[in-house]
Amino acid sequence: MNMNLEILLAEAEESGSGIDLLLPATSELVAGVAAFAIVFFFIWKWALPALNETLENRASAIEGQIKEAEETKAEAEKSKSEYDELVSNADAEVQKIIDEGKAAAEKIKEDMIAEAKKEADSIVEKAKSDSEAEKERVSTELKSEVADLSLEISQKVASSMTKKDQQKLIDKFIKDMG
Amino acid sequence: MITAAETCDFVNQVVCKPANVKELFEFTNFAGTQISRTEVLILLAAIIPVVVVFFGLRKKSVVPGKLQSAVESIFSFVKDEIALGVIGRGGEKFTPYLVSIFLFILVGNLFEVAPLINFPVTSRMALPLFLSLITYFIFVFVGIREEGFGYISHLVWPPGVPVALKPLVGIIELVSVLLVRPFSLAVRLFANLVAGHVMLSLLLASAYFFIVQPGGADYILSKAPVGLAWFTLGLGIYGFELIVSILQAYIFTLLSAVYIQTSLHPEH
Repeated sequence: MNMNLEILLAEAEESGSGIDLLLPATSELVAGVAAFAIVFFFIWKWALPALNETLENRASAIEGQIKEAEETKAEAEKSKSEYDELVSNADAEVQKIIDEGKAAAEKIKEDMIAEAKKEADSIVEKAKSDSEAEKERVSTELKSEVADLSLEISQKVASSMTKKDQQKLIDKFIKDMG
Repeated sequence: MITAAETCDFVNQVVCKPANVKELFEFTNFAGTQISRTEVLILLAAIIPVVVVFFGLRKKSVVPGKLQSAVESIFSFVKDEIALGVIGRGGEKFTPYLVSIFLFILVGNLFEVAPLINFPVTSRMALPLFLSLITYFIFVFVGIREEGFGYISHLVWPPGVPVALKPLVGIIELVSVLLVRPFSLAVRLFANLVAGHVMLSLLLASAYFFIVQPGGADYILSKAPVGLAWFTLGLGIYGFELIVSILQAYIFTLLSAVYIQTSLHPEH
């Protein structure tokens, strides 16, 4: 046990005191200065300017795209207003066509009604005229029939009457005619 | 540690100092000089951010790719949240310095959890001390430039403090600003990374030594569960140290900005 302790103490003595661990080694300090100088000059002279350039390019690209988008939007709005106007004009046009169609249809309807009425009147007129003619014809026929019948009757009556009665009848007839 | 310990006799040796331990950390005959592993890693901590940023910003695309987005996010974060957010007016000209220390410390810290490296270069005092001294010189220079001799006199004889307290507050302020600030800035980073590195090394090396060990099957079965427990805990600490690495880089950068701000806008 004592031997182990002696070995440990000897090792501790050989490896130096605690403060040695806190003191920087000169060679490491030199390496640190050189290494940091490399990083600093690279960042200062190349990396940050490159980054700034990239960010500026990106900003201008984004601005350009926003401007382009705004122009496209304005163009689209203009097209939309034109389209809306066109649509509203089309509505008016359609309404006009509908109105004209209605008016034409109304006119056609009126014409057809007038024509029909005229035709109906004409038919009625013709029917009246035909009816009158028929009536005239029937009346004539009836008169003729009556005359024939009267003649027949008068012949039959005359044949059964005396000459004197016949003369008397003729006279009375003439008298009635008169 | 594991490679070095392979020369040790675990069963019979109580204390083992591996014979080849220096060879693991120093590359002799490197361009005619003797250069240590730490120095190589410090240079690597500079080269990695430079290469990553270069490939990230090389194309300067209007529509960024993944790497460019990541690099831009880091730069924007340091610029907007730290340089402009903390320093405010006039903070933009400190952006290169703040971005540089953030990236340099971040990569240096991340070496702690980087496979096959597992050594944060910021756990060596040289780097935190050097960086905190730069911050120190910047904020003292800015303070003198802004207020002239008033910068020191305001520290020694602070305005707005009752006269009876001025000497005491003045001494505290002087020591706090001119001595404690750079020291605390360096030690905070150094101590956090050393603690994490030691903890991770001990846990993972212990796991290795308990699982892969000399002796018979019974011996291995009796110790392996302990090794697995260390390994599990080590993995948890590994994730924790990843967060610590990022956080410490942020804290160092943020405090540097705060110190610069107090010199640039003393009225605040």
